[in-house]
Amino acid sequence: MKNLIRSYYRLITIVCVIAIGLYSPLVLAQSPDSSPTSVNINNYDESHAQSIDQQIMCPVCPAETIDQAQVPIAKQMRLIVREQLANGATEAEILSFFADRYGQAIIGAPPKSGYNLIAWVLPVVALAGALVASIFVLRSMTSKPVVSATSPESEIDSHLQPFLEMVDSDLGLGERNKNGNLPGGPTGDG
Amino acid sequence: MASLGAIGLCIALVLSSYSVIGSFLGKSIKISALEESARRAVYVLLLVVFVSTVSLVTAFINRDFQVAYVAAHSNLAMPNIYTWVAFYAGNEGSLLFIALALAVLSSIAIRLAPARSRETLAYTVGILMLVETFFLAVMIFMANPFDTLPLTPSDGEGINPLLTHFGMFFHPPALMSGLIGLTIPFAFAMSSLIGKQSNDEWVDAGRTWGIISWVLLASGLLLGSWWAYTILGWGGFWFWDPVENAAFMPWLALTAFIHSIMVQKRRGMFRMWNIVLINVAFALALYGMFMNRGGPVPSVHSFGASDLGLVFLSFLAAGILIPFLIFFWRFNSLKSAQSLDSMLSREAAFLMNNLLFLGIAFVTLWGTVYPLISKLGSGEEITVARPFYDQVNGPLMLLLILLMGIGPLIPWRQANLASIKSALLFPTIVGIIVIILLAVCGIQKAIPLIGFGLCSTVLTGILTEWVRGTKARHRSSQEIYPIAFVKLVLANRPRYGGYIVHLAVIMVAFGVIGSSFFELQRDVVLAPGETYEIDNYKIKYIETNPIVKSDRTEFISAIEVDRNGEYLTTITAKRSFYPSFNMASTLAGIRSTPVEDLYIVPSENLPDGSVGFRILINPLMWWMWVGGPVMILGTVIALWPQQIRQNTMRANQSG
Repeated sequence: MKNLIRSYYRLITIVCVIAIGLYSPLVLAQSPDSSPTSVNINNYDESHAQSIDQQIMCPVCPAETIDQAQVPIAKQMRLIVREQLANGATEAEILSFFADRYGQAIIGAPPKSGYNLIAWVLPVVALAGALVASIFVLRSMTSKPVVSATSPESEIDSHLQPFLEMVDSDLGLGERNKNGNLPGGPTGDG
Repeated sequence: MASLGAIGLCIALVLSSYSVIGSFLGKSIKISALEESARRAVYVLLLVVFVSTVSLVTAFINRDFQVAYVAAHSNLAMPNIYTWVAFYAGNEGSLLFIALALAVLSSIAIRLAPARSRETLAYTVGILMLVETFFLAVMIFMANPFDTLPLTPSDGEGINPLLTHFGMFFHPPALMSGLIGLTIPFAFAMSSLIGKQSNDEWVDAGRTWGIISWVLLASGLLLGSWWAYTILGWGGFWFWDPVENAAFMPWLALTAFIHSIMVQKRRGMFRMWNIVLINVAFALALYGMFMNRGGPVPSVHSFGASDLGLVFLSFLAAGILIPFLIFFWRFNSLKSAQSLDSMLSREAAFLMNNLLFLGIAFVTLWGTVYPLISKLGSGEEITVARPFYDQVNGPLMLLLILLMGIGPLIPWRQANLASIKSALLFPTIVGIIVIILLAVCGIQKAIPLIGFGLCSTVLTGILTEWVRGTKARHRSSQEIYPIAFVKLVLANRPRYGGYIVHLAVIMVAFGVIGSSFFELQRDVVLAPGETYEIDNYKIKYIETNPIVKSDRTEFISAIEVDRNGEYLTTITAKRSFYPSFNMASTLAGIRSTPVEDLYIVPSENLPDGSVGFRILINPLMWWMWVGGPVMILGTVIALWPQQIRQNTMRANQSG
């Protein structure tokens, strides 16, 4: 029992320490005299920071990431990203830092886990399904006997077909025709 | 003047309702005089809607603030040139614009309807005017641009500053006309279906108007991206914002359609599929207008949020359901006239193309609705934004480029595997060489390497065809090469117009890949006289001059740019503050070259005189904007009437 209480206290202490540790940059950033330029953080990769910015939504401007938005809170959040990067945090840690505070909706894409895997998997499955279906449809269209009824349009096309094939063969597409000279284009207006 | 406009709308509503009833009734009880009078009502309607439009324009120019719409979207300080933009700045005006666009396009389409589609033209007129009736009724009963205020204010609220940009003169009109223009191929398709014809009669009109709507939408999307790039001040051009997506999806479906309609035109196949495609495109266009004008989703476009949502949604539901029923009613008439000769043919390649375009549209739609699904399913709030679309649609777009390289090289009916191989060999080698060269030059990212490789393959494929064709023509006719090339293009306009559009798409892809993967972005605060080095540029902030204007204060910053130690240019970038909107707008200073853009935008003016700049180097961006005019050129060539071929068609039909 004593052990249990002790470990319970220990857990609370750890949680508090972590929470304070995580919140401190936020508090720092929100103090009035800290603009992105007044804090000098250098040991991080700016392009990496920008790629993280592009994944975090601005909480107050619709459909904009903090990389795009120019409002103060977006600037503060950009600064937090850089501070955390400079402190050695990984991309995943930074993203979950923001997700913990603002909710999952602050991240620009659904997480690739759990229920939200549907968001990523369904498009792939749907496309693959459509591909298979269309191959079957094409197959069934090839095996079907030729319907003799032709529209006037296709008759015209059959008139033009020799010319078009000639062009194709000249362009090296169809079967080669040794005498496949171009008699002034398919419409004869050359 | 305003009351004239209001009366005009009412007359237009009567005319359009008459035209709907007259067309369908005249057709069913076979009174051709009624049909004809219903058709002519369209031209009168155009005149009346035009009078209403002029009356609203006059109200703007006179700053007639008694008209609520004029008071809400202009003020005395607004230059007259912005009347054009103010006209569609809100819901009421854009509805009037859409009604006018539909009246203009319908009149032209009906007047120039190909002989083959005359038989069912009455249905076409009826469907077009049904849609027109909807917009007129919404305007009159819910969002009348001519509503007056009880008291005339001394000044109006003014135009939204974000709209006072050159791009705004064309982006909204192009998109709105493109979206509503889709009604025309849709109307031809449905009328042919209702009229129990063999269902190829609508193909010519469907293709022509499909391509016209397509190029309108494409220009609208490109202009919108250009606007975002120069004025929104973050250096990008595409948000995957819900409203952008709503305009992008019908464009995707329409792109699939204008490819697949060629199969029906040439081979009498895919009849059912083309009807489905144009229906999907039409439904997505309605959805696009609903998103734009109903404003259910907060976005950069919510200039005029409104309660029109439910009405648009009902119309959207009807626009999906009714064609669906007609489709099943006429299902049996949609059998293909011919069968597919081979899986390895242009026909099959077009189906794959359709699959990819619809796939991208589906992913985009899925991303739009997924937050809702997540909320209902797991109760979790989720955002689906750019990171998702980039990851899922990016690879699909690369696949499309691949297909764009292969498709045009596969002949109709049946391809010979060996001939395709030989046609693909050279472009593929060029693509691989480009990838190797770029990798040697230090590009390590896989996706842009593949992207540039594919782009060069497609480019080589197109150019090789042009060279071969020109040579063949030169051989046979002894024309000099430039003339041989021009005549080659003119002799088969749909084909070569299509190639030019493909070329434009490659240019856009160049810009997208270059700027998305290789942009260099820095946010810096510079005091006057301070310099900052980025890449091989040295940027020196000189000074900012505030200019107070009647509605805004402009802060114009001058920046001197050196490259490799030599003076290059001076860039001016602007940040304007509008006190009445409590809103700032920026205009980036851009030095654009085919190699890269140097992009500088002042993101904040600090009290001590220093300025926070966002500086970007965006490689290859120039190509994206140049791609637009090339695309329009290609479309014009593809659509230009071929007199001789038409004459032979007529001769064939009569003979």
